[in-house]
Amino acid sequence: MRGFNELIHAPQRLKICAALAPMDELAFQDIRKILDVSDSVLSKHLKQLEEAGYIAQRKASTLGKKTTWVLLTEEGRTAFNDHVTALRAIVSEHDIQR
Amino acid sequence: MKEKSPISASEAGNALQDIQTTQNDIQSRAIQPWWYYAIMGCLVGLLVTSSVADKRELDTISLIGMVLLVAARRDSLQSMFADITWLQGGMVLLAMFSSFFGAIYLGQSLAPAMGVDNAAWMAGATYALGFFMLGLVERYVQRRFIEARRV
Repeated sequence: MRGFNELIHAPQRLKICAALAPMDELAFQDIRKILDVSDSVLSKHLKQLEEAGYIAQRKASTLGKKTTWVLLTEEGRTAFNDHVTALRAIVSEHDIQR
Repeated sequence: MKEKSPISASEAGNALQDIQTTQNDIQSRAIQPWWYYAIMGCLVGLLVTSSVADKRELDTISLIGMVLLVAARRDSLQSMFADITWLQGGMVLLAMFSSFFGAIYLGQSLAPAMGVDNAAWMAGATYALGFFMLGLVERYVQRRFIEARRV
């Protein structure tokens, strides 16, 4: 189905994209709190999204404290929006058939 | 020919529900509730009143209240403060301190005409109201920003 994205659809990665979509960027620790997962699990999912070009990570210093910031790239935002559109299409198609 | 859906409608519905839940969570962590600004404004206002009228017992109430309030919102996102440099942080602190001491100065200026206690409470209330109003503006701007990007 057009727009449906297997990579984004995995539950944790879907939540990562959903969390990043309304924000400019999120701190790694904030995403970890929202998903309630370990650092290593989150790193693994972020790496997969980064390899696909959907997110970018950068390290910065906020008032002297090192923080990793994660942001959705334009490509990632488009892929996420297309995925949501595909999900809605699946649900509405089912509603029409009923 | 009709394309076959890669997942069932119920799975798609659950995924959409997950997205909504996550984005609601983000919004509630990113935006402070209105009462946060109201209570924080009153607590800092108490410090102003205490400084003008020399009511030191108010300092303790205010500081305990601030600790409890910050603890109640400990899940707030740090992301709204991304990339604050020492210079920007310093300017924010300067603005906070100047408004705080400005309110104290207002109270001290009004004291001869109104009496110390009345002037102190008026300065505290002025600070609290100003803080609350600015907080509501900040909250409105953040909310518009986030809601515009939600799916």
